[in-house]
Amino acid sequence: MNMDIALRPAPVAATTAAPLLEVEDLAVRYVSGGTARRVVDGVSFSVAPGEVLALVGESGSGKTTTAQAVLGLLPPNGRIERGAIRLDGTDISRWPERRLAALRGARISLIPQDPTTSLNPVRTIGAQIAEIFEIHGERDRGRIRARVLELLRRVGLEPAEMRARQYPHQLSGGMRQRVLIAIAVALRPGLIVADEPTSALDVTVQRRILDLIDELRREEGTSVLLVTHDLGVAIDRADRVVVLRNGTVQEAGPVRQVLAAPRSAYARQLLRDAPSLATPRVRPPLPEAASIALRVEGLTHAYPVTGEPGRVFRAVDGVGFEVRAGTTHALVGESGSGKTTTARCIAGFLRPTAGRVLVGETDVARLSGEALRQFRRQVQLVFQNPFASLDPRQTIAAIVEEPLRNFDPIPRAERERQVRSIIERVGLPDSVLGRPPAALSGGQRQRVAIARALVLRPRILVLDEAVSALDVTAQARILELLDELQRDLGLTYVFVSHDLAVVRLIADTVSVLRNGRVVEAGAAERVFHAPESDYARELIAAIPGNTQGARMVAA
Amino acid sequence: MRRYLLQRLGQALLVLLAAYTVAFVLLQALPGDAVLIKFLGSEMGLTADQIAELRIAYGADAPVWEQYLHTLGRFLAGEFGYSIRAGVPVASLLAENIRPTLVLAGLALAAASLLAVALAVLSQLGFGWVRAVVRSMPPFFVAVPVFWLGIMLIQVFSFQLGLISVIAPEPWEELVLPVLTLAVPISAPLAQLLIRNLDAILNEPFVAVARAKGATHAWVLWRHAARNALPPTLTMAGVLFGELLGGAVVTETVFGLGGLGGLTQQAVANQDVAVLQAIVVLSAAAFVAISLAMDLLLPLIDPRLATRPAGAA
Repeated sequence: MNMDIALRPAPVAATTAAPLLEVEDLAVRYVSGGTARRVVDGVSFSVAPGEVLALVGESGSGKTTTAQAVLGLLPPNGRIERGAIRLDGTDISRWPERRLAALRGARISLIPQDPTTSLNPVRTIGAQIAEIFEIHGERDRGRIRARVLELLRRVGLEPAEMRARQYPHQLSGGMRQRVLIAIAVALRPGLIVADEPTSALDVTVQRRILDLIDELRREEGTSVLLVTHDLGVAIDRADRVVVLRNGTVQEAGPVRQVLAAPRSAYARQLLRDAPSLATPRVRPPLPEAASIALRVEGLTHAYPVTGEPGRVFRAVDGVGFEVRAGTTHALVGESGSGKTTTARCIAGFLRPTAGRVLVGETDVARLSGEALRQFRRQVQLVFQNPFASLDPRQTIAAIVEEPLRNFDPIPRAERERQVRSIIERVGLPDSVLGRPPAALSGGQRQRVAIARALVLRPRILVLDEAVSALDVTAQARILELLDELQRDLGLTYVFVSHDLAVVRLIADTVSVLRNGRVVEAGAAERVFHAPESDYARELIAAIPGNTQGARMVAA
Repeated sequence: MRRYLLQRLGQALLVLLAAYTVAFVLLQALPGDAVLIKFLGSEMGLTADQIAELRIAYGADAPVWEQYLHTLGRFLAGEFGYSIRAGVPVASLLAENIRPTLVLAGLALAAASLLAVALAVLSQLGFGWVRAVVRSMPPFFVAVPVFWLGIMLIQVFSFQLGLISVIAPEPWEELVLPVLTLAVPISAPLAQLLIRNLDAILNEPFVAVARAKGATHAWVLWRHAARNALPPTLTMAGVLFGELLGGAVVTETVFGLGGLGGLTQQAVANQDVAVLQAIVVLSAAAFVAISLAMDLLLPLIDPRLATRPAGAA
């Protein structure tokens, strides 16, 4: 495989120059409803001028809180208990809001996590870039406009004049992240805090965005505090890594050192869990004799184009594949590839314009009404976002029980027994049954969503980006669970994902989708190691942490 | 855009026709009619035959569907008929009452908006206990009975402080207290909605980004949150204005003002069908106009709403 990303060379002056940012013994506490919780406890690190330092950890590790404290933007119930945050030698941790405001944007700036919600929907792109100049005292409209256009061109948004007039909803996620990067570098700050800057983006877009940040950083000699749950991203982009867990530093050091010889058990586990670094479990050979559980033939789904009568947009265009019972077939592609539309057609939530979806002898595409409702027992769907897919007002027990109430009447006691058994099956304690979803972590919620899908004993599970919203650690545990359930219950999975690294860990066979068509299909290992299409090659190259060095060490 | 406007206009006409029809059916379903109520009283001393003649003269004896088509035809020609009670054209009754109502409702809405914005701003920028007190105001405002508030205002401002004369007041003086009386309860839902929206918007990631640019709380509130909080509040204000047009009866009564509210109340008491019919259609027209205005206005504030009409054009 052609690997063109090399490990970054260590910055020349990293150890000798005075640090730009020094965080010393930082402790942060949240107070909610009378109880205080310490989320950051004695964290220390420093960032040299021009250096990239990655804060790595799972959700709840305190990495985002640390970054917010550096920016002086803790939520209202957050307090810095002790410690110092020194910028160029001055402790800013006790500064009043007004002084901090003057600092933000000018000397420390932010690249946020989710570009889709991080721009004001009712103001133009140009106005939102111009704003940072206005806030920091620039009055000359002509100069501001010139700078805005220059920045737009610099981050690759052309034609700049048109982009400046557009609103956020008219731009893709990757383009919006470019706008946010333009804002972050506008005043040439010394430090950029990048809080999971690409977690919400497709892998290929992710790579281009990280390249852009790298390039701009190098030009200006800016330091970057990179917050990420993905060790792969940290390995590719950082000089040094600080591994956090439960608000304390587990390990810190140069990337090479942490990667080659992790000293803490937790860092070792993170390395194992990162999908791009993990060694795929050897999957049992495909049972040749197994029957075909799902066959998709010539699936096409077309939407009429708004405002242009007669024109249609084919979200899915002639997709076909088959899945043997008890195996996992992955649909891989970026946003707009048609993978989710395909999944929804299989689950019977969308009626395809043409083609067949055969589950056993049944053509899902022809079902409607009561027959379709009964069919749902056989194919269940698990959604991407476990925060949105569970009713916040129901208890876990009620959520898992609901599918049972929709079909043949079952006595209450029997329903309760089934709910308990499935909750245990997905590895959750009984004690969650009476709680609302809000009391659970992301990984636990996704277990609930899987339990809800399995309680009807379906034959096929359609998993739509089911682990994409989770951090690597939770992701690894859910993948293990899915594997175990498949072996024990003989389930067939359709696994939709944009992440080839994850797909490689769980899938037997793969269809790579682009613009609604299958561009490559085959056994997962084969596609991963010897991709035939340029597009699959591009997807694989974009996987973070997928560097020669990283793979050598991990293997 | 033009096609979108024509579509909306067509819809508006359908709504008006529906409102007219429903009102007609309901009014017909009432037992008795205005002629009977006016002339059956013993003091008039009319015989049954004379009343029957009067009914024919007013067209009250014709079959229902004929009456429906007849009055509909006249409505379309802009003729609203005669008030049986007052014996004057409905059109002139309406004309007489619309102006004071529009003035009162308009001023009340303006005052309520000012009050609501003030409360919302204080709820975000005030400190400590100020926020808590401000946030408890809307539920309190909505709980205050209008008649009581009106009487209390007269007591305090006119009788005790002597600031506003009750007898022969100036035109502006006459309006101050009723406008206040109306503004307090309608400011409540507006303020509540604004506060809630601002709370939600200030938690949005784009606000964090704005603060990371160095913006202060006040800057974020004016330049980012306000415009995002506006559309739902405007929609609510439109509905409230529509309700005010016919719903200010209590205030009009307490302060002895003429207006559509009072006119409606009298018309109901007297089963003055022609007047009621006209008022129903007028209210429907007001609501239709307000909602059309909102649909055209909101995309100017939130560009995401503009995609649909642009696509239809």
